[in-house]
Amino acid sequence: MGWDSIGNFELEAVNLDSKRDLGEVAAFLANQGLRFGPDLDHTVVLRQSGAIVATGSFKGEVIRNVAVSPQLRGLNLTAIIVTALAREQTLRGLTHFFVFTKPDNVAPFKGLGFAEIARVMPWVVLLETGLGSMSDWLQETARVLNHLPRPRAALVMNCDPFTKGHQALIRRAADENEAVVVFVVSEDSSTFPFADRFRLVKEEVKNLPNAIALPSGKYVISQATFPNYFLKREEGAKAQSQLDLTIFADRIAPALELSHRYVGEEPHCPVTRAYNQAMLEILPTRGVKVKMIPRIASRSQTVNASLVRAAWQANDWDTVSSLVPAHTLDYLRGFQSLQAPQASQSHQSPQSPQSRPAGQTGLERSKCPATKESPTIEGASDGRR
Amino acid sequence: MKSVKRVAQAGTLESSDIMIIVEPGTNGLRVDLESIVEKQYGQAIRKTITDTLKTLGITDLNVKAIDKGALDYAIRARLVTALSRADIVQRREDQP
Repeated sequence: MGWDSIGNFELEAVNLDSKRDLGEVAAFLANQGLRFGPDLDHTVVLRQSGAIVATGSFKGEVIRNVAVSPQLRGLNLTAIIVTALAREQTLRGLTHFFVFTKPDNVAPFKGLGFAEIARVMPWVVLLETGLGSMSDWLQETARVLNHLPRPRAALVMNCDPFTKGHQALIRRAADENEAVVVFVVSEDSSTFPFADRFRLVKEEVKNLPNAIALPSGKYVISQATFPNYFLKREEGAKAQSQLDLTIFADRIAPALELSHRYVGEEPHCPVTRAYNQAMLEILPTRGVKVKMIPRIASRSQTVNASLVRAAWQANDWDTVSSLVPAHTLDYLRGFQSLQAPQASQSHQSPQSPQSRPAGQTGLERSKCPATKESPTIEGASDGRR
Repeated sequence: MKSVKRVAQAGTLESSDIMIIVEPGTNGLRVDLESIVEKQYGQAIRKTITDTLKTLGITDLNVKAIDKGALDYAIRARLVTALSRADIVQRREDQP
């Protein structure tokens, strides 16, 4: 493989289980003011006489942490790194790629065929290439929405699981607007799998003639629109909210004729509150009105999905049934009996409450994501947790 | 009829090369090209790609090509390699 050792450069994959190897990459990135984000699928380095001179990583479709030693700029080592990453991504079945980079590092990526989606100065630019583009997605989505009157309101929800709170918010938006588009967060990093969360929302909106539920896809609250990686932590949360909301206001809302965004008030979680606050600051200045709706209460508790998950884990079906609509309740009961006998199998969806060890997905998710180093997709997205 | 079962990639993003990504398609031949020489050679590159696919009897495929100034034979070689990695053509004997 010629380019594995071009001239005196050696390309190698980093062992992500080796603390020593990771430390070496982290030190190289730190020298250039970049943080080595956790939770990566693959990392490569290019060495010259044993020392790292360039590196790059990806998580899913998202390429990040790409850096080249300042002394070796101009040799287009970025091309070698991105080629190696894209090759590995393709081996894993991916044909579309995002890149996160700093605004002053955009040019090399545009030279490699990447197109800019959006930027938040002075922190981050999101670019994409590969099969399918944001324009393709917007065109296709606009076609799917074509039967709905305008202007339309949008909601973005995780629905983990779907509660009476989500239901109230959707119904209110449907009452107050010509049409409503509910984007259900597609990332499968929640307690309940996307397919199930989506189906429960669809069962609700099928009764509302002016509403539709869609997967949030790659461009709304996704791994790609949330660059909590190489940015320093305090900048990270702000930059990721701003990027996601900038893409929504500048690209998605105009193309899909969305005039309003509805969101549930967040009384508890600081990360979600910060995202909602950013929404109030960014969207109205870019032509999208924000309606922040107080949560509904049940038995003097405000309804949210984390409460449902906690009660579900504790087998407190009385509380669960007070917080969720009937079809979610049916689902949760079925989910439990389906999962329990085969909890030890490696299934994508979570294990049953009884068998789920402490500290695994479900319990972590019931905490506010702000307590963790990187805010989860869910935490930043879902005003109705 | 030959069809691609899985996605595959060949080539690099380095100067004078082309990176080709193929995935199964159902809607004819769809070629999406980014090229640094789009103005001068974009149509010619697309034709090289579609002609090669037709010669191989491939009727449905999505192709992404990111071109950094590759010559004709390099384009064909990268495409055929991607197809062989996608198990659609055998490595040597099927090459045009």
